[in-house]
Amino acid sequence: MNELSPMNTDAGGFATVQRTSAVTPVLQILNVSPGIIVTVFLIGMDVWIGGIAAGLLILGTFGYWISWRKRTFWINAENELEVTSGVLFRRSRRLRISRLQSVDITRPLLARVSGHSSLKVEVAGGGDSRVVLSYLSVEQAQGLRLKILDLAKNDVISGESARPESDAPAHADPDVQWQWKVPNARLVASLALTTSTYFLIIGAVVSVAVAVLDPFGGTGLLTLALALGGAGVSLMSGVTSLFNFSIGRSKRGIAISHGLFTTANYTISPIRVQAVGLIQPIAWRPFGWYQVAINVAGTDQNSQKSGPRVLIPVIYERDLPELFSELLPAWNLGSDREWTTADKSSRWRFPWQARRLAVSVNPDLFMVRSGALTRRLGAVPHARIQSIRVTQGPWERKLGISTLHADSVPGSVRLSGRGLRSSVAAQTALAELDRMAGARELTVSENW
Amino acid sequence: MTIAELFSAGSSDWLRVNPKLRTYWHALIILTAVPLLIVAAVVLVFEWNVAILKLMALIFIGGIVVCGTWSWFLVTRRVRSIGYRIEARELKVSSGIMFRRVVSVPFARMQLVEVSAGPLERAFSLASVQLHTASASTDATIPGLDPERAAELRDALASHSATAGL
Repeated sequence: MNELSPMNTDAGGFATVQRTSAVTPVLQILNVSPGIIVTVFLIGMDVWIGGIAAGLLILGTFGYWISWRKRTFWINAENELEVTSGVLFRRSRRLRISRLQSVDITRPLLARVSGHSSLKVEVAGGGDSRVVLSYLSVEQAQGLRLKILDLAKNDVISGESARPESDAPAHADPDVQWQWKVPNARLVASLALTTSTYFLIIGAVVSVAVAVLDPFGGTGLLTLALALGGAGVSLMSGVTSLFNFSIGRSKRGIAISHGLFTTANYTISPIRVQAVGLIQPIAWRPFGWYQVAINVAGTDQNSQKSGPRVLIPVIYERDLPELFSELLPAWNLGSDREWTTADKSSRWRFPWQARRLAVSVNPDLFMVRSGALTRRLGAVPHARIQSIRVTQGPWERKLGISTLHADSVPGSVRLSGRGLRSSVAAQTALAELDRMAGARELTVSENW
Repeated sequence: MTIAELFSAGSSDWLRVNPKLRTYWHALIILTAVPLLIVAAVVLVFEWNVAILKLMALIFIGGIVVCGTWSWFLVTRRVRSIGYRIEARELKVSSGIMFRRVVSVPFARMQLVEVSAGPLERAFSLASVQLHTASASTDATIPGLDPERAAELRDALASHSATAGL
């Protein structure tokens, strides 16, 4: 405990200096030891190599233990999460909680088995804007996360901080007002029906054909095994990552949690949702299923996987209005739109999807539709477009068409209106620039 | 009409970059091609009796010569294709001859204006101005500016984005 520092009474138990869980060094060494052990077996086991490996493990554990001892964190009086670490070079970082972007709990397999979590805190700002606390006990992680979220919302005074210590699942947010769960059976079925899986099935058919033509070669069997293996692996990785998908609305924002072995929890303010996409692979059409993808501001641009990219992996079309009215009420994707369709000549450039290509400039949203087999619909509010681009390749120039891009923050939703007659693309771009300027003036200060 | 003209409502009075950019890009082509050619020539000249290696070296030399000549003659058009305009609310940059593009960045969405000049650029007393927004696909770079012009442009853009607010 740091007696000299002023106490932050709002910060509860986190106003005093804390350490991560004492089992952290053990978990860290367990994380790296499989690599060491496998290397030993690959080189060939003998006394020397075994001794060196054991020495490395012992040294490593000691190193991790010292760095654990030296790493402390607390919430100081200025409402900053202060993290001090380093053995030889001490490093102190302060993250202003008022500028919070996200605070997420992840639970890698090893940590999960031992009942621990990692907490990732991200604030707006330059390079030194995120910190990962590994590993915390489940209660500590959950408590710190709620505390940080409370401080960010500045509503601690209302007495909400006196939370009952329930035995609810670690990731549950006690203030959920609305929640939606994706049945796991539907998730598996939908992922098994995606177009990429279709291609793998085609691969399997091809390999069977090869096997029939060349029954003794064995190449057919090998291709079949590869295609099936590939399909299985991609299906399994999708299922394990999106298993038990639940999305809800709490007073802190949109809460997303999913994962079988590694659970991920995200809380994002609706303000941070910059673009929304609806995706429908061809095999989902009979069921009326859609996937809702989002671009979220402030997620780490270097590692694509750090933020939520999917609002909901699969949902019936009839349930979309409820989802949007609960989570993103300002986004009105449903109503009838005036579409500016692609030019006829774009058939020579986009033979399959030419008839579906279109853009739409509405009072509130800029929208793009595309895709023949996998249908896509993208939407972005005018005020959240970063820049407008018109591009034209040589083949497009021959046809007199151009592509109009509305640039959004990095994410899976791309807004590119293809196949537009060049003059139409330019006019739409100029009209969109006017809309953007108008919308920016109306946008109220973006705090949450 | 090119897309740049369409996108500026028919007007063709785009600001152009310094023609010295041509010489700089020509120098860049030479400085890239010559070391590669030397490596390939060394492989050819040395008396290794590996036919495949010599064949690859020949193909390599041919490729470099073709690509180098091709881009050498396109440099003039490439430089001429670059233009920019400072308008009431946004900066527009156009470029490209095969793959043309015009980007329009509202001042209110600029997060960072960067002036950069590599060692070779400095030798030709040139600088580039690059704009960054929260989007990674915003691709607004103006190469081939006089260093003073680049600094002026940066300050102008910065003051515009300050008045536009965030």
